[in-house]
Amino acid sequence: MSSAVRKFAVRLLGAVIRGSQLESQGWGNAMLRELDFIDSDWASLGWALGGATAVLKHSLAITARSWVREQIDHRGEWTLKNVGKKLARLASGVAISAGLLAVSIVGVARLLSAVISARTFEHLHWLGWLPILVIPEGIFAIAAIALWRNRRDMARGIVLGAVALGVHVIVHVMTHK
Amino acid sequence: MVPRLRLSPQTLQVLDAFLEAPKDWKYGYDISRDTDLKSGTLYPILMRLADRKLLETSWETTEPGKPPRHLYRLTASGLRFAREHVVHDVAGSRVLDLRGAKS
Repeated sequence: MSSAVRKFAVRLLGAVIRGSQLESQGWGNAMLRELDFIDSDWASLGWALGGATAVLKHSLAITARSWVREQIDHRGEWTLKNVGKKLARLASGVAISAGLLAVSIVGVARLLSAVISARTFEHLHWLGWLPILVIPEGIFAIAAIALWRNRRDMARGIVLGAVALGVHVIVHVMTHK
Repeated sequence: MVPRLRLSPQTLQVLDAFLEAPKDWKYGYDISRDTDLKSGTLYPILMRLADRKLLETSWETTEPGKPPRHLYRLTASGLRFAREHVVHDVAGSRVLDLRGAKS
């Protein structure tokens, strides 16, 4: 009978294999099968952790290689005109994220102040993060996922906006403690 | 011509383990026990050796209803490569790389 540790080891390695590239899955399954021959449960967990790392590295290397190959195959696209178009789409993504942020800050902050009294708001000061960070970042994430397939450059611009906002908030919190 | 392979002490250990019985197929866990290498170190080495056609792999189905088990063996060029790079000292325990890498 399998212990909880061994079951976890099998599940962990199995999950990593399922999420990895097809070429890495054979190696992953090879390591997964070896788990049946390891006596100690903790040793099997160590084996699974090492195996998961090896599969992930192998899979990432394949992804990186195919990405580089794809870039080389499509290097004709990197003309001045195309780069200009890409940059314009990227900038539009950044502009959209800035607009969404402004709407969120003005709109939601007004709504909150209308609904909640100033005294209550003092106790619930964390609500201030909603229009500044939580809501915009959530919208950015949804928008980027929705646009990723068909308007990737614009989605990248939105992601850039989201990252910039996140970094800004972190720096602000760190410096105003 | 074998594509460039980083000959770390661990790679030499694995090659040495295969040289003990060059014609036999080996299981991953057995190689791990022979070399004291963890799966996270051993399998990337096996993957690199297989990529460079120095290692051949096979699936063995022994028990019905159970998934097959992966087996490994050096290819003819792998055997030549291992013999070129792995030698033992007089005591037969230390693995040396003829080109200078040392375990």
